[in-house]
Amino acid sequence: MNIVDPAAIEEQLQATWVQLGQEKKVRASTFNLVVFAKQCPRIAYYRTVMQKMIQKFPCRILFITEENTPAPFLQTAISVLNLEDSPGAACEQIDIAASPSSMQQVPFLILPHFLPDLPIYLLWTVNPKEEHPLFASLAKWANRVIFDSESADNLQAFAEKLLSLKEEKRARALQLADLNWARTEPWRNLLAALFDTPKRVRSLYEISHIDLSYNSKETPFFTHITVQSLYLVCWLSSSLGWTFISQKDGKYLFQNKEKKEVAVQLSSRTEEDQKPGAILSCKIKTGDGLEIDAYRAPGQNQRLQIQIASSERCDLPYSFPLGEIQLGQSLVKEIYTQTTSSHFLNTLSQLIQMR
Amino acid sequence: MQQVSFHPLEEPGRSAKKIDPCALVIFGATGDLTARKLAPALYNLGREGLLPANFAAVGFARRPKTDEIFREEFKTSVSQFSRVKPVEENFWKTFSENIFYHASEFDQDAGYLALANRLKELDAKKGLRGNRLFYLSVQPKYFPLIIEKLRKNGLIYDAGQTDRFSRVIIEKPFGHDTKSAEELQATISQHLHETQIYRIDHYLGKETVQNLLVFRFANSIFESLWNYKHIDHVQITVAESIGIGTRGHFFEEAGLLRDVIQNHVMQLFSLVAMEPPVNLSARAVRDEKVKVLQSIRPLSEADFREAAVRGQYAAGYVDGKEALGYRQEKDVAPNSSVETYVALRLFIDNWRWAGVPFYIRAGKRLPKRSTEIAITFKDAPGVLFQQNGHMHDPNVLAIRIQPNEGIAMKINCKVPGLSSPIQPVKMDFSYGTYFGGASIEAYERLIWDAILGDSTLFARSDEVAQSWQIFTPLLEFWAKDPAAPIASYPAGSWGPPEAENLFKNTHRAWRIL
Repeated sequence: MNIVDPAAIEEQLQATWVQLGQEKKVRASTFNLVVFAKQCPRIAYYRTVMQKMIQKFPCRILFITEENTPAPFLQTAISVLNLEDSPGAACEQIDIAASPSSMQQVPFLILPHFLPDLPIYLLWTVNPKEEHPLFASLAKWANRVIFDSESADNLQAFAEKLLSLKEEKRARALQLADLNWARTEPWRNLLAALFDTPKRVRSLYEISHIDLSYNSKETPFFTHITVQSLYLVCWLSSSLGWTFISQKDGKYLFQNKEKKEVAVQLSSRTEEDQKPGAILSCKIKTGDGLEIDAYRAPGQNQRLQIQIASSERCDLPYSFPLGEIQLGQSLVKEIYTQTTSSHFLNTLSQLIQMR
Repeated sequence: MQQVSFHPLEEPGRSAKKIDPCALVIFGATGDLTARKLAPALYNLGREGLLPANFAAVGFARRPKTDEIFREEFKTSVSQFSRVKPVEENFWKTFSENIFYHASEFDQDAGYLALANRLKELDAKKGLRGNRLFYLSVQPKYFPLIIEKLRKNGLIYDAGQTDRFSRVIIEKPFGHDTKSAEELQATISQHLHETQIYRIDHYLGKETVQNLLVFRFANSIFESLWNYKHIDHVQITVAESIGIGTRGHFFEEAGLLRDVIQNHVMQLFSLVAMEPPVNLSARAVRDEKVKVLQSIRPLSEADFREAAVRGQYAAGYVDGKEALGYRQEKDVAPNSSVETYVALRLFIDNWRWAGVPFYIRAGKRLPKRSTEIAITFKDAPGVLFQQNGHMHDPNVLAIRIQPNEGIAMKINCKVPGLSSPIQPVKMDFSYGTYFGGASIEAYERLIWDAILGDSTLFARSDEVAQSWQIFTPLLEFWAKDPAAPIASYPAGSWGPPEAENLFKNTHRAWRIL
């Protein structure tokens, strides 16, 4: 990382690329990614995510860090990020570190450095409930704003904030996403695939019990381990038209469209070789006698064992590849998806109901 | 069959253009333009062998000084501002022998007579054949005086003379509205024929601007798309990150519309929108430029309010440093209502452009220096590749005039992988990558053309007049109530939010450059 004067950023980048051009390196960029993070241990995680992501999707990264210092502070730096799988290409990162008192300069520093005609994505890693002066200016330019609900202590408040943003910026059709939502995609796809026939879809509306377990392992970067499970539950309930009744000690009661009770139990256990908060198993029982049990087979990280039994038959268990999201992949998935997922918005609405 | 050329030793299209000997007299020789642009341009033309073999440059200014002192100052300017450094001493030794200085006030006949005698001596000594090129690098208020004196003292000849020529290069602004432009034209026309007047707009000297005609008319694929059937809108941006600097006096009288839009922007506009000329003669090209300017729909009273926005920069940040607001700049009134930003929406009422809006914006203290023409094409029918009801981006052809000169085309592409999201990507041509090296500067090209007698890259009187006709009503509207609030924008931003109103009820927006 080379610290440079803000006025010299493009000139320095140009000089760097001229030099790299002699090594036959090509400048690659498919979009602009603005990342805002506060100085904290989790920043290391985001930098790792960036490094992973650019291997397949090189981009210009504008990484803004808010430093924990009351004194005015502003520093800019540039770096070139190599692509391990494509030695002939590289992309660039512009780092801006600023104290809260210098933050008002940041939008002016960022603005000249967007690559024209490429989308602008904003990864806002801070809790959106905390009003931050930079958000409005950055979100204004972004084609898509991606949040990380890991930053939120209160998931309902997070959901409320996102829905209000969507409403506020309706005229501009602001696109929103959440990294944790992307992480639930394999399970959402799985459940959709399991209820894949007209008969199974009818059973879907007969769900009476769900037992969902998740990994209680925490790391310095992941402490809000219930998020993915809650998203899955709310997604199911909003998609199937359930009404929330009550919750206590991890047990959630809903009422389906037929006014029948649906009980969802969340439980946790620690699995060292799984990611924090990862959903470990999902057992579904329906009123018409269908039972589906999907669980991670021990020692098989990416695969599930699926066992399906109904009143008529009991299938042999089979193995199912979960298609787990790799590091950085959740971000990329959200980047390349257009518009805000209506399922995501419905999930957020359902979450808010579950106070 | 062998082609018989006029001159047996000249091969059409291959031999260097025949360039006549001449004396170039620069009025305002001690000014900023001479130091920054004209001196380096002459030096580089000379260095590349493009000046006539028989050539002399005479600086004309008020302050007395010797030829030697002027030559030293000339060399200092070259060493500071030339695109090629350092000064080549061997070349400089012979080049500097063709540089002279003449001191006189602009209004003294004796000074002009002395100049005429000096030039006659140089004709004899250097074989200049009496050819004269006068560059008026002075304030426009002196143009009529200087031209009148030049004519009166025999320095300007009749246009019909075939044994020698006299031409005058004048710098913008050519008047400050329709009436003053007409008056200026009427005054200088008493002494000069239109063919002797070379109105410089240095944008026309830029390689990228000259390339507009080549790009449009030497590539068949684009011309068939270059119309209302395929183009959704055009955006022309002339953005500067610098403020007005030391030009407070001038800017307070002119404003941005006069400084940039009426001339530079309209040159870009006419080159983008014009019809193909019948040939590449100065007359044919300029005829088409005038024609398209004549086709611009006049701005109505409603347009003054809804299709034009003026702004003024307030304090902000540029390049990481605090920037003063316009009203805090030197020589600017603390309650000034002069615009440093203009955004406009224009329409051309002709077959090619019916219904296609042209959005123009120019301003000082914007986030970066960037001049660009962007052609946004109409959306492809979205039946095939819509994603969640979202249409993919339209194609955009972006012509970067400066900096990072080049052309980029935004197209849609499938993201590699099993699913099919679509992502815009760019095909990019960059001058620097293909052609390398420092290309010829605008003033070098223009001075060379003026010596050659090629006026293609100079503005014609009817072009100037037509351009003033478009904007004078708007200027008068703004002048009627100078105290009316002017939209403010922080230095370092892309202009006032009011500029977004030009896109009201459309799906369009200003490009983020």
